[in-house]
Amino acid sequence: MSLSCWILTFNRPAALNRQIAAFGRWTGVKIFSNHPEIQLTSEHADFHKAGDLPILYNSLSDPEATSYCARSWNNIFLKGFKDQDEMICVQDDTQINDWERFRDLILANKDRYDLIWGPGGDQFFYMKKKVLQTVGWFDERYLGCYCGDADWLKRIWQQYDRTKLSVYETHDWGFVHNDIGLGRFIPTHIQSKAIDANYVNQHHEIEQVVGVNTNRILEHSQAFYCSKWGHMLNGTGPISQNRFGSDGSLIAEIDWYPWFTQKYLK
Amino acid sequence: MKTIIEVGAHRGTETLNFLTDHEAEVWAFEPSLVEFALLHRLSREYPRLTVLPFAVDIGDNQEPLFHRENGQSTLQPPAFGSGAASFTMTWTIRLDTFMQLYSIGHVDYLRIDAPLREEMILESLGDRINDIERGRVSRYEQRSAVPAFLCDHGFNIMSDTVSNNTLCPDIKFWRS
Repeated sequence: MSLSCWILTFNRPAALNRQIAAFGRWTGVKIFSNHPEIQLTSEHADFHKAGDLPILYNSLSDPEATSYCARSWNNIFLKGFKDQDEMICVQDDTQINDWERFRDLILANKDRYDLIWGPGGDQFFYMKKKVLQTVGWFDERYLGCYCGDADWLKRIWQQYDRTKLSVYETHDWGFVHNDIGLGRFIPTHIQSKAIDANYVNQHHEIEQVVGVNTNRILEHSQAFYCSKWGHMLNGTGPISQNRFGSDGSLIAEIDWYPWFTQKYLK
Repeated sequence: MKTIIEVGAHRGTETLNFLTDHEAEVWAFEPSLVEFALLHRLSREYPRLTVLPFAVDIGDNQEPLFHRENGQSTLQPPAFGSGAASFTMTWTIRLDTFMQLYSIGHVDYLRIDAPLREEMILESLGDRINDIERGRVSRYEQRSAVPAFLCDHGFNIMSDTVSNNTLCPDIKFWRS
């Protein structure tokens, strides 16, 4: 069975089709869409018609809604880990330079590591099912696409065998551990992402809905992160450092999908 | 042409001074949307001015830009426990990424005025710090590591209190 690649897409057709081209020749690409419409090139549309490019729609989403990454990743885990033990997760606006060498890099390292993460939050990660079994779900109390990735990575760092983790994270809360060189292939600047004429990043999508002066959705996520970990996410150094007195979360995790946990993760 | 990079252009006071040099090409970073709009209008009058709505940081990402009651905007969050933090998200870019994307080989003057983020901005140059000729950094705390960082990378430094609106003297730096 080929390695699955789940693309999380947000109505960015040019980026999505670029992404399918980068992964389509060496993984089984599946799409999870947070938007009711998907625009594929004729070649990719043919793949879809042939059953080789399945598309799952987030039935909770709405054209007026803002993105919700934690829930989206959990949905992908639900669909993907029923019958597979590993997957690639990637957001549609992630540019892959030189996909063949990138493929070689991932295939050469995926047996050494259970998680390969980077370089900018949850834009790309390879993971084994064991990570989900050990650490649990993304915490869906983080709204929008903010803090949930850092929270999940922090929990992995605290709970998982670190020799099995490869992390190259360039956010101001990030850290580097067992780097395999993801940064050579995945740029994270805006020019690499904004190839759709009407490109909107998830953070700005939220600001368009709730206002640019008081972004209560993202502020909720930052406040929840503070409550949970006892420090702010940004500006306080790498989340791998336990210099805040507590190794663990101050708020209990939730088993968001206990039926799946019981049936597929035990 | 002389290349000037201004990180934290604010309302453009220093930007205008830079532009009085007719050989200067100025790249001004200002992530605050209100001030960016002012500078963007200014740039229509000065073809040698390019204004970028980004914050400079150690990663090419998006980070929260915190808005303080005194009107300042900074990537540096308020102290933990000081109350709700108001912020919007801004694009961030490393200076070495910027110099590569815009084909800038040499920087004649680097001006940094970004509260409590000056070290990260200098670090974002990576090896391209060797392409910086001179500049000035505003300091927002006495125990800043900026002087040591600059000396370690081959610059001469001196304090400069002229035009300074922080509690600490600015640092001028230049290559020998």
